[in-house]
Amino acid sequence: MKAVFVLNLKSSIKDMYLLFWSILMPFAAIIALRLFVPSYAGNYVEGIIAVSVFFYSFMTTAFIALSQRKRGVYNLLHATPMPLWKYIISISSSWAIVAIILSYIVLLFSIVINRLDISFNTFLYMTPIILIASLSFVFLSFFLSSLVKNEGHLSMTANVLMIPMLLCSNAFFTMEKAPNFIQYISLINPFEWFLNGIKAAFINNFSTWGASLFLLIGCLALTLIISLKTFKYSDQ
Amino acid sequence: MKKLISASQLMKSYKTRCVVDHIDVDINEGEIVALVGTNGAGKTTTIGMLLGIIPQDSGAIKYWTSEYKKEIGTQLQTTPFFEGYSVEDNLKLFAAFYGVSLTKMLIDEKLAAFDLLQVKKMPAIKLSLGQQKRLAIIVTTLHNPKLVILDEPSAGLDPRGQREIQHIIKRLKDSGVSVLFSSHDMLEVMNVADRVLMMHHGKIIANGSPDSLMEHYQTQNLEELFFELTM
Repeated sequence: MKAVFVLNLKSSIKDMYLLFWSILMPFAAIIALRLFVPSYAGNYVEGIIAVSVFFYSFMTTAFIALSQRKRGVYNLLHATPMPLWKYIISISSSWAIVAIILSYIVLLFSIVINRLDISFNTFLYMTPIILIASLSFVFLSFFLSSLVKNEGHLSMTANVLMIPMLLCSNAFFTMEKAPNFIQYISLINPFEWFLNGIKAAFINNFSTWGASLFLLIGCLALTLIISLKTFKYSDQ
Repeated sequence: MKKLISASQLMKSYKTRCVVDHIDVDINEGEIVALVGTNGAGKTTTIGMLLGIIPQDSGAIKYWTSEYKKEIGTQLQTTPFFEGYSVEDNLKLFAAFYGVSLTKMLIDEKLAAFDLLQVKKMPAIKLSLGQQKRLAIIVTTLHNPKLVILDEPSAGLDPRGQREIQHIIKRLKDSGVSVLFSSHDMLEVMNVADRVLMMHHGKIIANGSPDSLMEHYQTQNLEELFFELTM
C-alpha cells in the first residue's frame, strides 16, 4: 500500500497542469475579491478553500480514474492479487494529501493578500476536516467515473452533482434567506458539512467542528462502500 | 505433466452472442501453448476468463494453486500502463500490486535485458509499440510467476519486433515458466508453440502439437490447416 501511495503522490505532484489550475483559480478569486470587495475579501477564504479542495478531489480525480479505466489499466490491476480496497485507499490517500497541501497554499496566499490573523490551531483543526472530506470526494469521484462512458458524460454528470452541492451551501451565499427546501437540502449536503468544518476551524468553534467531522466520517464510510461496490474495471 | 490450469465447458455470451462456446482448456507445466484464431474467435475472452477478470457464464476453472493471481503474469492486448508514470514507476507500481519490492539494480537489470534502460525515465505511454510490448512482458515477470499469459504479444510489430517476442517467449520457457499466448501469426506459432489450440466462432476446433496436427490433417503448414478447418 505504501509503494502505491508514494508513487501516486509523486505522479500527482508532478502533474503541474492540474496543480497550476487548482492553485491559480483560487489565487485569482482571492485577488479579485481583494480588488473589488476588499471589506468582504477575508470572509470568503473558507469558501474558496472548500471549493478548491472539492474541485480537485472530485472533478480532477474522476477524470483520472476514467482515463485509467479507458486505457485498460484497471483490467490489468484486476489480474493482480492487489485487493481493490487497498488500491483505492492508497491512491485516494495520496490525492487527499495533495488536496491538503493545495488548501495550505491557498490559505497562506490569502493570509498574505488579506492580512488575515490566523492561528496555528486553525491549520491544526482544518487538516482532519480536509483529509476526511477530500477522501470522501475522491471515493465519490470513483463512483462517478464508474457511472459514465466517456469524458463528455463525465463532465455533464459531474456538473449535475457539483452545482447543486455548491449552490445549496453557504460557500458564497448565505442560506438564511434561501427557500426552506434549499435549507433542508443544505442539511444533508456533504459539501456544506465540509464548509462548516473549515469555518469552525477558523473561529475555533469546537462543537461545530466536531459535528462536521462526525458527519464527514459517516460520509467517508458511505462513499468508500459505494466506490468499492460500483467500481468498474473495464467498459465491457 | 502437472496441470496448471484445467478449464472445462467454459461458456461466455454478450447479450445474445455466444463468444466462447463450452470449451475445455488445459495448460500444463513447462509448456508453451498458442491460442490461435481470427479476430472475434473468442481468444481474448477465453484469456480473460482464465485470468479471472471476465466471469464465465458457465463452466469451471481449476488452478494448481489457490493464490493463482500471485503466480500468473499477465500481458493484455492493449498493453496498458498508468498515465503520468515513468517506465520505472510503472514497474514499481505493478511490482507493488504483486507484493514485490524492486531494487534500483533489479529494475536496471530487467530494463537492460529488454533493451529499455535508455527509456527508464520516459512516460511509459509515450514508448513505441514495440517498447510497450517489451515493457508489458517485463511486468508479467516481475513476481517470478509460474505461468505467463500473453494476449497477442506480437500484434502490430514489425518482423524484427515479432522475432524478439518469439525469443522472449522461448527464454521464458527455458527459465521454467509456462506460457499461454494468443496469436494470428501461424509462422510464429509454428516457431514457438509446443501445443496449439485453434479457435473458431468460440469453439476449439483443433488441439495438439503443430507437427501432430499437420500430420493428422495431412497439411503442409498450420495456415493451410486453419483454412481447411474453418472453410
